[in-house]
Amino acid sequence: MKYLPIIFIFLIPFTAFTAEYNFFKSLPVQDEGRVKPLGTYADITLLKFNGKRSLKLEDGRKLSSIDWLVDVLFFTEKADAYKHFVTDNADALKAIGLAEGVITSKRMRFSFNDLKDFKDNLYLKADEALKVDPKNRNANEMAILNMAFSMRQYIRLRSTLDFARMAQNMPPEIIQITKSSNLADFLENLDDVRKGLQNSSSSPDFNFERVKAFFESLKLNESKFFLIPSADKDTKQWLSMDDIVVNRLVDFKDELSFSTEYSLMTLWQNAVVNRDSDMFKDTLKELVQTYKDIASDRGEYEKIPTEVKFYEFDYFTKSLIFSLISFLIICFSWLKSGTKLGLNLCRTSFGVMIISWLILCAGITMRCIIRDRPPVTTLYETILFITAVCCLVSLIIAVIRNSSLMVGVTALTNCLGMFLAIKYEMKEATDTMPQLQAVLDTNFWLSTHVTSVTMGYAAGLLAGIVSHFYLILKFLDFKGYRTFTKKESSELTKYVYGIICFGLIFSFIGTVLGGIWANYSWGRFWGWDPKENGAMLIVLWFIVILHARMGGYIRQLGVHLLSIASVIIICFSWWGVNLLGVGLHSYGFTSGISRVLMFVYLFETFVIATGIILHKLSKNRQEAKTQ
Amino acid sequence: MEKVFKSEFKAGNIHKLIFEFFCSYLLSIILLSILIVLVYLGTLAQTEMGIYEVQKMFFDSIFFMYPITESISVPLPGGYLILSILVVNIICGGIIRLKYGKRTLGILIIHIGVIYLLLAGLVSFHFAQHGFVRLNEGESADYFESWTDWDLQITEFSEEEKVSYRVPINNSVSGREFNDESLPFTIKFLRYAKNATITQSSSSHSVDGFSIKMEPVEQDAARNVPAVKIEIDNKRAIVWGRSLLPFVIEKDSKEYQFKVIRKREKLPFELTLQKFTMELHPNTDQASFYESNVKVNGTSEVLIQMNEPLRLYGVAVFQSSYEKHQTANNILYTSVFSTVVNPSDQWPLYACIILSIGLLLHFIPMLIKYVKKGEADK
Repeated sequence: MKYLPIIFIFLIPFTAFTAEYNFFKSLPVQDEGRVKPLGTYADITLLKFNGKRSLKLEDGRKLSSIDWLVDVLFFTEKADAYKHFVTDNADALKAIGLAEGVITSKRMRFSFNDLKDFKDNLYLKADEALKVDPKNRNANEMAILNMAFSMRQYIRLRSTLDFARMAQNMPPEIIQITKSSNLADFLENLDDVRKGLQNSSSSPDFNFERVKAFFESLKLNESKFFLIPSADKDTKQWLSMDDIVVNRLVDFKDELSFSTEYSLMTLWQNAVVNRDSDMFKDTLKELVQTYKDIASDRGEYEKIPTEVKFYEFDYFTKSLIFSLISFLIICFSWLKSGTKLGLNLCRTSFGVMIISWLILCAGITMRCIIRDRPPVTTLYETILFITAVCCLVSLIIAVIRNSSLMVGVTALTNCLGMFLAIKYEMKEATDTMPQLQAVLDTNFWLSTHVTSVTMGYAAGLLAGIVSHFYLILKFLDFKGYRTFTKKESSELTKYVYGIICFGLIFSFIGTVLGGIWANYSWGRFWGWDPKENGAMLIVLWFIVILHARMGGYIRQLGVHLLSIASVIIICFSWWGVNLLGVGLHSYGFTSGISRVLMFVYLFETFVIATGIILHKLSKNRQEAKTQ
Repeated sequence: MEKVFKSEFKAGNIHKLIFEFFCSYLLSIILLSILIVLVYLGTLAQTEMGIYEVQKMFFDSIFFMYPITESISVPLPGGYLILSILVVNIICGGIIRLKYGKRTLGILIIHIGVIYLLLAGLVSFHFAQHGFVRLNEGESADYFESWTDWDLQITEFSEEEKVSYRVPINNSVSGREFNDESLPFTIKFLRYAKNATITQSSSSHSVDGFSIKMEPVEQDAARNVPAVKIEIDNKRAIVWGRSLLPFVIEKDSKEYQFKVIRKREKLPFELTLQKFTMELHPNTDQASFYESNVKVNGTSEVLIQMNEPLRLYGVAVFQSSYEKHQTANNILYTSVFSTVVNPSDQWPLYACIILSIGLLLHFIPMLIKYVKKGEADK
């Protein structure tokens, strides 16, 4: 039995399958202000378009994000037919002019070829939607904007290597001078080309229109994909292919300063030329190696392999699976409670849960290493950290008090947390390791204030979850399925009370530290900003619970009901205030979660009401019995 | 026989009852609950109103009318009142009546910390001055301007000297008269608009073809630009915060200029911006950092950056933001500093230390006892 956890490791389904171009993931690119692996870029982009990190093709094959990106860049004609634009808004599709017949199921997939004729209309509608205040945009407008942004990004992406394709159409007038159809050569020797063209322009074969069209076509490239690091190590800004062409062709910048950039361009062009030959993969590998050397030299490569590994291992999905298994086992153990099997199952569940928690912590640690930051800097990271803290606290209680219930609480909390993190990441479809605003660039305050406030959130949520179990046990007792002893009941109350004390310490100190930080960066301790208020609500609520208990106004059930109410307050403070769209702390864009939040508010209100009714009913029954 | 319960009305008992009331847990719970509602409403209100207005209405007030719908309002106690009673409650119940002992030492310290924190807030609320300084490279300033308060500045030019007077303008000046013995005239404030523009109009209210147009109050209170309509010796004028030229009158061979400007406070030193540096995250519009090299009193050089303010002679100068101006040849930056004079500047830090000590002193022994009990149960 004790080897069960180890067996499970091998049973874990490897959801991530190996991609054909897996090695290409570690090519560094600059995006959203940081140098990241191409694999991360591919993941996020496909997630944004398709809602998933992989794409199912019509022939049933599954394409990983990096393979998809290789197709978009090199095999554009193939990628144009991939149905990777997903929308579930039929009205938005009607609005841009798609025929009714095409619009069928709820979730529809389109390819670039399907949509290209409606592109202008889409952009027009998107322009209109952009004029609407973001707070007042309806679902149609949001869907149109999403589609337009995806479309524009796709068009830019597919045109990234256009320069190389155009070079293959280089007019003979120019090839005669450069002796090759290499665009980098052409740019490097532009002055010679210009002179040569002037000299040969009088020859009868010279087609002026053709040459002019070639020059114009080069300027049309609209790629904004920053693929080319600058040769100058101090220049942090990477260049897009478009930047290089414009710098040279339009702004007449010195050709010598671009030597490294030109050599990279040549490599990319070779890859395009070789795309149908056996050499293709080798050319790409050469690219990866060259980039590795350049980026290492610039000090930008160090974290790239770690990040690739981080995404490949998929820590949080694995943690979810383990905690789910742990929860199922503990549920079985409860059915068999009192027997030896039950005890063994409980131990196994605990072991599996420890593995799940360690995987979660390893994931968080990897993120800290990659980012050189404390664990919490974004809304996404609060989910991970809060889950880890909740689990740690409840595991400690489980060990100290020998409680199988707390193992179950841990497993359930971990499941919920990981599920939320995965869902949130998919919904947002943006880089979860973004660059920080200038004011947040302080590891001291991020690691003290932010960490302690989130620990306060964690405590409140954990207390709430334990209180739900209290109510369930009370309900089972009322229905006569299982006796809920006084000892058990007071034990659970002590857990909740202890967790709330823990929460009060951290949320109180954390909130005051936040004020001190604000005093250091803006010169005011307290500004009644929504997020500050949210933190204060939690502190006040915890104080109310403790004082109400001290004053004897609430007993066991009261503590649990108020602790469930603290879930509402924490959810408001954690997510709700971000939806208000005002204040200094709007660090998370959280469209579309208001419905989930509403559900939580209503559900918890319902639970509290049920708790009160249950209390009244059991009291009545007891009175009837004594009479 | 008649029995008279005189003792109920003894002065001592009433005092005791009042004291008991202020000591009670119930009062704390009620006050905290009201505060929770207040903070919640004050947070929601920020979607409609600016943070400055919300703060004034909900938290700086003793009572206020809370609009439930457009026509129905209910009176609610304001933050100032609730926090004041809470302080009394904590002093009575959490400090005076506390049974002193080893077990309550932590609680005592926590309550002292809270009182200290609230006191810091009170001092800051009544005595702190907030403002800003905008500087281009090479410019100096020895004063800071208010974000929200404006003055009517009257400058008297005589042959020998130039003297300035300032009259604060706000909602209360409307319809009032102002005179001072050093000024040879009375200023009659006919109208005041908190946020205004000036439009051409031929109505009876207009002055020389112009009149004040009231604009809705800005969410960001610092963006309001006020205007006043004044009358001096039967001569009327509109003076606006954004007027380029002042309103001028002559009297007793002296010239008087009228301007509406932001309220100014003197800095105890002169600040000169030497260099402003800003960097973006590559290929984005997002600043990764920005900082200002300044000179204090023309001598010592200091670097002011995010989270690293300059604190000198009781004034703290913070890097607040920057403005970008595109000129034909290059980009110029204006550095914006926020300035705060706050006597209780560092008090929250001390309060935080006290609070932390108290919380740990109270809860750690509880935890240890609990863990020990758990082991014993096993």
